[in-house]
Amino acid sequence: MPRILLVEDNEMNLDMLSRRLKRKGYEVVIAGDGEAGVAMAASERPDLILMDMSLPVLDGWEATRRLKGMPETATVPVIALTSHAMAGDREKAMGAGCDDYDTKPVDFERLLVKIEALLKKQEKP
Amino acid sequence: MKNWLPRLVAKAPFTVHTKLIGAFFTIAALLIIFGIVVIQVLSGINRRSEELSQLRRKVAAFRRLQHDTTAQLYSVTSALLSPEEQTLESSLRQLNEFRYDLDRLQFVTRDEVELFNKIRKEHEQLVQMIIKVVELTRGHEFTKANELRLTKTVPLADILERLTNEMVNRAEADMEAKVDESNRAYMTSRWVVIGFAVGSIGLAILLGYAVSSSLMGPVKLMDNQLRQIASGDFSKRVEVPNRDELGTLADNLNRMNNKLRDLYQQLDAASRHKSDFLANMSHELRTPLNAIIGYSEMLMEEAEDRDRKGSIPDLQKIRASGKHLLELINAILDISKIEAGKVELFPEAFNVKALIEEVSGTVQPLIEKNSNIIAINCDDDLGDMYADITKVRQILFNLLSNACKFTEHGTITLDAVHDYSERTSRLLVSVIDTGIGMTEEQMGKLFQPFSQADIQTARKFGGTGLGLAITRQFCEMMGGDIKVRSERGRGTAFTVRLPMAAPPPRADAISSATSGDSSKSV
Ligand SMILES: Nc1ncnc2c1ncn2[C@@H]1O[C@H](COP(=O)(O)OP(=O)(O)OP(=O)(O)O)[C@@H](O)[C@H]1O
Ligand SMILES: [Mg+2]
Repeated sequence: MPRILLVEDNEMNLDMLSRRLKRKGYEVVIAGDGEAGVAMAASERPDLILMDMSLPVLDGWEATRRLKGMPETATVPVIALTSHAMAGDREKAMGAGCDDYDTKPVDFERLLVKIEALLKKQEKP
Repeated sequence: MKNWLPRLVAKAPFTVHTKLIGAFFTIAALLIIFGIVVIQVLSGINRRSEELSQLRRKVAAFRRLQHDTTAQLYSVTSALLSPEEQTLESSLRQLNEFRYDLDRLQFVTRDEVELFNKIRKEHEQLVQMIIKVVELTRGHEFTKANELRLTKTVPLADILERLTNEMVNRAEADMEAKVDESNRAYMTSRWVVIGFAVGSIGLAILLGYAVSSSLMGPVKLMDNQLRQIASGDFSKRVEVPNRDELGTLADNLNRMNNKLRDLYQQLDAASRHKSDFLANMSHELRTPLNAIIGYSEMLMEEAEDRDRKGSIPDLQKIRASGKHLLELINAILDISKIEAGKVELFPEAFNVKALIEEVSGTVQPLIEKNSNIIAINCDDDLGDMYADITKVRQILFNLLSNACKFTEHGTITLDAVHDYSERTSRLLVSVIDTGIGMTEEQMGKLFQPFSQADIQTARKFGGTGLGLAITRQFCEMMGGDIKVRSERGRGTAFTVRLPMAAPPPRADAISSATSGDSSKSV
C-alpha cells in the first residue's frame, strides 16, 4: 500500500486526515512540524507527502524546498495544503517545488483524486 | 516691484471692503487732480491769448498814432500852402484828435511810460509850434510861419515820428515774443497734460494690479488647496500674507484641512481595522468549521461502512450547514481582502474551453437542484488565455451559481466567444438564464457588497450578496468589465469581458474597483 507522509500541526486536522486516509487503505505516517517532516521523509521514504504550508519551526515552503534539494527525497511528490487563499499561495507553493496544491478545509474526494493522479504518475516512469 | 506691492496691500490690516473703497477713492482723486491740472492749463492758455489780443490792439493803436503824426504834418504843411480858415481849423482839430489818441493810449502803455511821456512832451511842443504857425498864417505872416514850420515843426514832427515808430517796433517785438512764449507754453502744457494722464493711468493700473493680485493671489492659492483636499491630499497648508477676510478664510481652510485629515486618518484606520478584523475572524472561524465538516464527513463514511445509515441524513445536514457557513466566511474573507487591497493577480496560461467545462461540471449539482438544464456554446477558436485562472474560475462559478439559484425549470446558457473587434482581443462570456429576472431598481443595486435585490429574495434564496461584488472587482482588476441585462420574470443575462492576455498588474485597480461605480448597462 502507498505510504503517505502527512505534515500538519493542527491536531484535529491531523487526526481527521490520517484516519480518513487510513480508511481508504493508505499507510499514513505523521509529523507535527516542518523539521520533523523533513526528517521523517528521509527516514520513512513515503510515496507521497501532504504538506501543510503554515507549520511551526520550519514552514511548509521551506520544508518542501529542502526535500526537493535532497537526492533521496527529491522525487517524492508533494501536495501543498493551504488555508483558503486568493493571494497567490498556490503560486508560492508551486514555486517552492510542490507538485500539486489544495486548499483547506480539504474537499476529501478532490484530494483523493489528486493523490491518485500523482501516485500513478510516479509509478509509470 | 512685482511682488512687494500686492504683498503690502495684502498685509495691510484693513478689510477687503475698505481696501476696495480706498482704491476707488484714490482713482477718483487722481481724476479730480487731473481735471484741475487741465483747467489750470486751459486758463493759462486763455490768459495768454487775452494778453496777445491786448498787444495786438496796442500795436494797432501805435500804428494809428504813427499814421496820425504823419497826417498832422501833412495837414499843417498843406494848411500853410493854402491858408484858408477851413483848412486851418481842420488841422487844429486834428491836433485835438491826436491828443485823444494819446489819452487812449495811456491805458495800454504801462510798460513804455517813459517813451510815451517823451512822445507826449514832444507832441505838446509840436502842438504849440503848430498853433503858433497857424496864428502866424492867420495874421498873414506867411514867411515867418513858413520859417517856423521849417525850423521847429518839421524837426519836431521828425522826432515824434521816430518815437512813435520806436513804439510800434517795440510793441511788435513784444507781440512776437508773446506769440513765441505762448507757443512754448502750449507745448509745455501739452506735455504736462500728457505726462499727468500717463502718470495717473499708470498709477491707477498699478493700484488695480496690487489690489486685484492681493485678492486673487490668495484665492488661487486656496483654490489649489481645495483641489488638493478634494483629491485626498491633506499634507499641505495654504499660506497667505493677507490680514483681511481672505486671511481668515485661509485660516479656516487650514483648520478644515486638519479636521478632514484627522477624520480621514481615523476613517482609514477604522476601515483597515475592519478589513483586518474580518480577515482574522474568518480565518479563526474556519479552523473549527474545518473540524465540523471533516468529522461529519468522517462519521458519514463510518456510518456507511458499519451500515448504520439512519444517522446519515442528520450528518449530511451538519455537513451541508458547515459548508454553507464556510462559503459565507470565504466570501467575507474575499471581499475584505479585496477592500484591504491584499489581492494580487497571478496570471498563467490555460485553456479556456477546459476551464469552462471544469466549472460547468462543478455547478452540475446546482443545475439539477432546480430542475434546470444547461447549454454551453463555446467558440472553436477560444484557445488559450493568459490570466489568473483562480479568479476567472470564481467569476464563472459565481455567475453560473446565481443563474441556477434564481431559475427553476429553465435553461441556463453559457456563451463563450473570442472577440477580436478591439485592439486587445477579449474573451466574452455570457451567462443567460430564464429565471425570475430583476427590475430596473434591483439592477441599480447590483455589484455592491452585501446588496441583494430585495429582502424577500434574500430570505428565500439565501446568500450573502457578495458574489457579484467580488465578480465585478475581479473583472476590473483583470482589465475587463461586467454588464447585466434583465427583465423581471423573463430572465437575466450577465456578460463578462476579459482581455485574453492579462495586462501587467495595476496597483490602482483595486482601489478603483472598490469605489463603487457599477458598470451596469441595460
Ligand atoms: N441570475 C440572476 N437572476 C436574478 N437575480 C439575480 C441573478 N444574479 C443575481 N441576482 C440578484 O442579485 C443579488 C446579488 O447577487 P450576488 O451573487 O452578489 O449575491 P447572492 O447570490 O445573493 O449571494 P452569494 O452569491 O454571496 O451567495 C442576488 O441576491 C439577486 O437578487
Ligand atoms: Mg451569488
